[in-house]
Amino acid sequence: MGQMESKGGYLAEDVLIEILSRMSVKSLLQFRCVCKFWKNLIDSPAFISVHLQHNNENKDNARLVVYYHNELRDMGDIVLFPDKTLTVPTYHNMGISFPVFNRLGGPINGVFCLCDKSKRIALWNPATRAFRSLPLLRTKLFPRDWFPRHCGFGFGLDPTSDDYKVVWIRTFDDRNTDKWGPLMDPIHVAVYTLSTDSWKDFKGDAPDCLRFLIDSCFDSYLNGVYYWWSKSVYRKLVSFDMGKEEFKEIQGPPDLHQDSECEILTLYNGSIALIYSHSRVPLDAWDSAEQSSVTVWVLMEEEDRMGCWIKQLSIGPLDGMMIPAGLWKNDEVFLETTTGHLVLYDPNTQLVIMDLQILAHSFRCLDLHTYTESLVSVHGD
Amino acid sequence: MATTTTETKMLTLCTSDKQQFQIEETIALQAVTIRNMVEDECASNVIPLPNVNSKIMIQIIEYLKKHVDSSVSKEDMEKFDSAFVEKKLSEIFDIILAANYLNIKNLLDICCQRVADVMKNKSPEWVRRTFNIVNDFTAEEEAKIRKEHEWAFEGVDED
Repeated sequence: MGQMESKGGYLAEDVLIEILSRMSVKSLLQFRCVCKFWKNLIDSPAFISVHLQHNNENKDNARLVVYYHNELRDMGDIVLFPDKTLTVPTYHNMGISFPVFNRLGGPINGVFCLCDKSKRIALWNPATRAFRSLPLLRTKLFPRDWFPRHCGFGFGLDPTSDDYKVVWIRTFDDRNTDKWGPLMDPIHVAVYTLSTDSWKDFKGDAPDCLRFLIDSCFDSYLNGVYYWWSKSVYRKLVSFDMGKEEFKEIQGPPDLHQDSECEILTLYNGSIALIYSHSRVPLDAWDSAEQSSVTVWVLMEEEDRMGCWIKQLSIGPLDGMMIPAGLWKNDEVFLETTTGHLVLYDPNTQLVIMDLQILAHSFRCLDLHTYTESLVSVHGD
Repeated sequence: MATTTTETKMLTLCTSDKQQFQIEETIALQAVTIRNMVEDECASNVIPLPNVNSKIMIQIIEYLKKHVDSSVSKEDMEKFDSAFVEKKLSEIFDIILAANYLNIKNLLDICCQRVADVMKNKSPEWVRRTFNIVNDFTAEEEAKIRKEHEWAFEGVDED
């Protein structure tokens, strides 16, 4: 040995990168103090992106993050499952300096976007515990007594500039008169850009269906585009291209029941997917026990506002009141029970595989995110 | 080729300590560096490998022989790989250098993963000793870097 000794020790730089890209963020933050060469390497954008890519390629590195509203403390709690066994939940609000927050979005490359009740927004990397509050959005477009109503957030990466962006969609009611109504109130969209650390008003066309976004699950970002599901009569996807900064409407899956119980937009194997559930009372049942069935629709391609959807999974009928909360590996599905438990369900065997031992204090308040840790900075450098 | 008898083509590899290894070409060609040399016809009968010694070459041939065998199941191959990397770190480092030079991606992957697994939960002091690295920070500089992510230093193995 010794023939390739360099500043990094025995190993050549490319081999050292191969090894370090397989390490956890916690180890890497420690190893920054090994020597100057290692510190510069670990801090370099090139290494951060190799490490991220390595983590993304290894499905075993995917972790589950559950956000829920803790009613006892009246604030959001985050539970992180550090490995694929889903057996060691750790409470992990670390680094978050909002006293109370109530919405968690993302993650994009290991970075989450969260906001508090007064709609202050921040970026947070749980692996490095870095936290950054975004500047407040001040809108001059509307008179003082117009009252904003939140419709949706989007969070993504502009692939053309490698810049993080937050999109905030609101409508404004005129408090003094009722003359507009929900279908007429003006829509206001603002876009925050991390590199300039500033908000700007969106001047392009904002489609009407933005008034009825479902804004619970946040991880519907794919290849530079953020997607929302617009409920109500619209029943369609609306997307925002982070690079071009434009909205697009895309037709939803065909023949959805009007009486849905739950409509969640998420990702399935690198495609946009809609988890859709509806309940019914079986005709042949003598009692009135409800059964619900779940369908996962996957958007195969989109062209000219038309969506090509395929029915990927059909689950159920499920006994009792259970609603889907998210997807996991091997077509397994997370379900939330009316008693506030989170369970993992295998559609093939139709069995509950495990109870994740999370007890939310009310129904429909669990928010699931699949997460891979990264060294990505929330400071835009 | 007109002949029906398949003759096994052999290659001779010559290591840094001038040992010669006769191996089947199909086995040797898994190393991209050797494949390129053969394809570019810049290799004569004997391929010199000045960056690999015979001790390491024996182990690399053992690895290549197993991986050329298509009858081995995926499960058995994983078992072989995990047994193969059960070596002292200094030996793994030597194999990494050779695998990097010979461009054998799978072998490089499993060895790098092995090093990463061993380094998990280890302290910066352990890393410096193991990798033969001189700490070029002043005490103040190091204290400052540690302070930036103090929590990351919790739960580290005893040296």
